Amino acid sequence: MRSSIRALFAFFVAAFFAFGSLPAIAASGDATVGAVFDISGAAGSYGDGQKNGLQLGEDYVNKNGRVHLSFDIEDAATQKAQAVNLFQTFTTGGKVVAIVGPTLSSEAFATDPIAVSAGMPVLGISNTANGVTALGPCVFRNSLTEAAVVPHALKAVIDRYHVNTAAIIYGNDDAFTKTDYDVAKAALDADHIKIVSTQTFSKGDVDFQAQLTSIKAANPDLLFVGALAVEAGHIVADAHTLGIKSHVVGGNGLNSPQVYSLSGGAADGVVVGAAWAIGAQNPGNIDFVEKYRVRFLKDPDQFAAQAFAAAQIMENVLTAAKSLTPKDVCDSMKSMKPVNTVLGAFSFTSNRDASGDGVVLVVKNGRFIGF
Amino acid sequence: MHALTAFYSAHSALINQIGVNALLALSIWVTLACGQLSLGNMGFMAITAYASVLLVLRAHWPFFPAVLAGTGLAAIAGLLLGWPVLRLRGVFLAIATIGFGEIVRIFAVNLSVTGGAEGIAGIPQLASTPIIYSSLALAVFLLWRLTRSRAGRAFAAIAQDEVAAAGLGIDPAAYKLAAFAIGAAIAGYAGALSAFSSFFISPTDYSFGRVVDMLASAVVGGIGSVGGPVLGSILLTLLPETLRFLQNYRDVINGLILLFVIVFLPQGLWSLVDRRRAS
Repeated sequence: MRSSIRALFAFFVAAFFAFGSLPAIAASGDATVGAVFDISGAAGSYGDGQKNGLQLGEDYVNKNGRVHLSFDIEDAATQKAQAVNLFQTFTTGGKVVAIVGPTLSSEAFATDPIAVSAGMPVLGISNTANGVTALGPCVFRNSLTEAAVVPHALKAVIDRYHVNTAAIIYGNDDAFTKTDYDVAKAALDADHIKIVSTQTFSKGDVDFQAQLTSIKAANPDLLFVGALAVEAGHIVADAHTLGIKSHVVGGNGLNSPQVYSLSGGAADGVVVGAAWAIGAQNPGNIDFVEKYRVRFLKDPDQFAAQAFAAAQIMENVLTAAKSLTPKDVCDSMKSMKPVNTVLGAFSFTSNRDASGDGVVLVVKNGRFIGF
Repeated sequence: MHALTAFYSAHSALINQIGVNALLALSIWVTLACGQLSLGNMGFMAITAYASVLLVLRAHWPFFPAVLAGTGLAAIAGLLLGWPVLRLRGVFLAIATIGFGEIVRIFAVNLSVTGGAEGIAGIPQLASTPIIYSSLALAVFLLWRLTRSRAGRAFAAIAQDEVAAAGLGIDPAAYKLAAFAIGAAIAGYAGALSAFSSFFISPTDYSFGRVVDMLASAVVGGIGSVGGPVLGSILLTLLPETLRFLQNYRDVINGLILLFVIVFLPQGLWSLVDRRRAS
């Protein structure tokens, strides 16, 4: 039995030193950027799009030839601990000049301080919680927060239709959907819309009939849905079944093909405030959507688009950087001029957040079109 | 020496995680050693983590008093919870304790002092590697002493057969409650160390999956000895990181290795060590 213990330990020690201590072998290139996404686990559906988008972006940048760039994409498996380990490996390995990610804001609060203390710039592409970019002077994001897009979508609906009352349904155990609620409530209050019903649900719920029945009784003109794609799909379907006629409005979480694939025809008329529109007619975006469909045999989602935009941003940042060191890359990000991306003309605000109001979309015949 | 410091600076987070996970696996091992399947340890983790973090951040307590106060709170919660639920057995006890863990999490989601779903960010890094590992060493030593003591023998007797143990003059209720409180205190203490080494806590850190990890570490390592849960935690924490080179197949191979261990070493990894001693 002695030999088997030795073999077991030898295996782990060998494997750990051989593979665990360095991020996967990067392709040859002038600059390597680390990427930490949740490709598996609970947030796997987001990370998958991010990985695809970034891979497509890598090809795009290298084809342009302004800078040779390779992304080292690693899976954090929706485990905060793994995201932390990856950030530590990237910041101490001396191979990467910046890190893209992590997928979730709750991970960013644990990982970004590691990058900050190492002076490593971070570009979040899906972190929407308040305070992420305040973690350090080199923490950026290209994701428009709910605070940027939701008031816009609400305003568009209120301006077009006759809206006096509203109801809100949101997930109260998730930072993203809780922010949805805070932002929507503030926007509705500012417009003097009376909130007649507020209902909550938990992540992973599939039946929303109880909450929606009491919303139906209050008969609001507008129903704001603070949810991520899967729950939103169920909510929209249940609201349709119960005969709720309110105008349904949501934020970034609803900008996913899942909203209409899960709810069938019920999603028609749902208005969504988001950072990106699949049908946006700028040439870069048309090209991106086409290439994505060819390579991955499905439509890109917003996560993929923001990842692709990250590659476009890094292309410009690295080209302009004085040298390919984390410090100079961070300086270059701070002084970045507007960049044409799939998200449109993109620039950072002085707080290193994404600037802009996003787009307002409406679902029609199972597709997102401009509202 | 330089290689060692470089290795440490690249992997200190992982090294700390192993220590914390080992303490967590020990916390569930204590109740298992007494024959109780209690799955509420994420609740105790949350109680101590939130209590000690709030004491440090809001009330400006020093680190150790805050952590010890939080740990005491978890032990008291363990006693209060244990008193009614230890009348339940087996799967019913498991369900009741899962319920407790979920209740704690829902409280954390809905209270404003815990930051709700948005959690608490900006927690100082006060739980250093020496603190974590000296705590682990102390816990292993005390639990090892416990198994050799009168109480430890009583735990083992109750785990074998509660009625027979009562027939021998052992008070199962008292010993079960003691095991429960010890487990709660260790889980809570580990929860505080975890919070003070990861910058940020939110209610999702204390969901059901957390206790499944603890149970898996204890069972894979082997519940026959105090060394088992420690060994199991090392394996379960290291495995996903060492298998990173497998990319898309990582989860598959990770699962296969664990399956392999369970099938061929049903007494856990520690049985290898025991067999080696016997031979």
